[in-house]
Amino acid sequence: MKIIRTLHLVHDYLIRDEEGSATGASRALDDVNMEIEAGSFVTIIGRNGSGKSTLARHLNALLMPTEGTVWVGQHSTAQEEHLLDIRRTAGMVFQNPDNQIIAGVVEEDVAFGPENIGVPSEEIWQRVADSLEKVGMTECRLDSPNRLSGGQKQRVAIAGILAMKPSCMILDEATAMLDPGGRASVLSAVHELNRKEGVTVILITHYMEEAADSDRVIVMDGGRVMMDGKPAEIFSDRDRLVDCHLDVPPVTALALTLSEEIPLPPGIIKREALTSALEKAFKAAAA
Amino acid sequence: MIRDMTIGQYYPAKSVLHRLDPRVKLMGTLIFLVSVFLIHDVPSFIIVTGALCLCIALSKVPVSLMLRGMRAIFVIMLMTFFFNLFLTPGEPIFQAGPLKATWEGLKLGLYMLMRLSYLIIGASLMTLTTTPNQLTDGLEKGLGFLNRLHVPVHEVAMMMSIALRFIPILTEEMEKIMQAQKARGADFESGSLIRRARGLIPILVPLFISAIRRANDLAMAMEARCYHGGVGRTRMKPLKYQGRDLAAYIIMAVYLAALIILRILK
Repeated sequence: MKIIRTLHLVHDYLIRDEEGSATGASRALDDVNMEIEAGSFVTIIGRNGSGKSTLARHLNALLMPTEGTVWVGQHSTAQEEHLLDIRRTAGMVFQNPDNQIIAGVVEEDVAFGPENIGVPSEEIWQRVADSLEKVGMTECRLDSPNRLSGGQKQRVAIAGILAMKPSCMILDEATAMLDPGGRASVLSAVHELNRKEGVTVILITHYMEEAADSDRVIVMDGGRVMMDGKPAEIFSDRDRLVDCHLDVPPVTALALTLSEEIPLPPGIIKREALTSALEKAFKAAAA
Repeated sequence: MIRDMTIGQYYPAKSVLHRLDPRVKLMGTLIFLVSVFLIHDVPSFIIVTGALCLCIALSKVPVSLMLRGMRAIFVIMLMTFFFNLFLTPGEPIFQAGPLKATWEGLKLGLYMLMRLSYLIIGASLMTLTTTPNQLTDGLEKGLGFLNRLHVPVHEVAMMMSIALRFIPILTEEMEKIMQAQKARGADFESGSLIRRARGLIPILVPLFISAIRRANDLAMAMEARCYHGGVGRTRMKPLKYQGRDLAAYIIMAVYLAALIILRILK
């Protein structure tokens, strides 16, 4: 089943002069066609200005297509009467942890989403407890968000989305402002949700390593989808990645350099895969 | 340093006053403020003072905390007292140059002093026993009837609670900007008042820009989480009156009635 589909999606940002009248348009998305399978873990990568965040805002109906259509679940984002349904289906976690926490207490912030969609009080308590449990933040439920670290704040934000029981979660560079420890904790929480709860995850990032564990990688540049496939396929095509102003993760780069001398299989993206491939190659050479 | 400052100064404790519904406390504060202005003789003074002392004892908040709140308006209180003392016509106590202190002035001044300090203590007693969240919830629910007059009660309450959440974030940001400007050679401590006020511009402009940017982000995050105003919204912790709240309302009614009757009988 497809949870998200876009067809010929185009988005133009208007360029305004000092008086505020439009003088032109800059194209942020240019004929984007994609389908996302329910339950999958998809990473969208691209450099700054490649259109990945604009795409994310379309998937949550925060922006309307200039041309083309976006379907989330059953509904097109252009149908205003289904706006709440769309946002309940596709939850969104933003980049800056401080600017998306609304309440002064962790548990009340997690309750904000369910409150908005009119969930009865007793069920809100249940959902808040469950969501905090799933991201491992139960101990902090009565704390002020100001006392939490960046990684903890992002996990609270994820819990806030989870409490609305979405079938799809979009993380728009949600790890960009975090330190390595915080990034790891957020990513492991998201992977676990995908595996255990079957939540579809769309991870938008410019860190190549984060793409390695996903089912599918979409590479964007200049508002277009340039590459689309499994991580191993994407990362074995270094030339096309460089054309998109990106580069392969360090382990893949090492494997590619080594493969000039040693016969190694293509598409190595993880450290373990590289060590086992090297062991095999050495055994073959010794025999 | 600035981060230690908390708005409304909540003092966490487990007391009857802390457990009361915020609407009761808001109403109680209002009634107390009215009652302070009904004081005009010794019996009413004793009733009001007794009620205040009882509330302080019930609240389990240290008295020193409440007195600290008065330090802020000490100068105003002193000025009020002296204006009353010297400018009220009546029987003179002593004369210092053109200024004449009178017995009537002394009495009036002392009354004003007492009223002002009771007002401050009464109001701070409410904020000390109520969290800012409860306070905005109480205002939203308690003033809900204003909705019919097209006053956007929910929106105002939401703005208040968001403002409270962002005060520490913005003060931290202001400190960062100040440090950044100091690193570039800005001087905020010396010079005349005008010079120092002008020195604030390079702090305020970036602070405002960042605040607006944050507001934009926050609005988008709220929309993404299905926020669409107060219609059809449920609450995780809805306010519900308990038995003690009803009892408090009855006590407050008796208290106000007693003071009004005293006043009429006089």
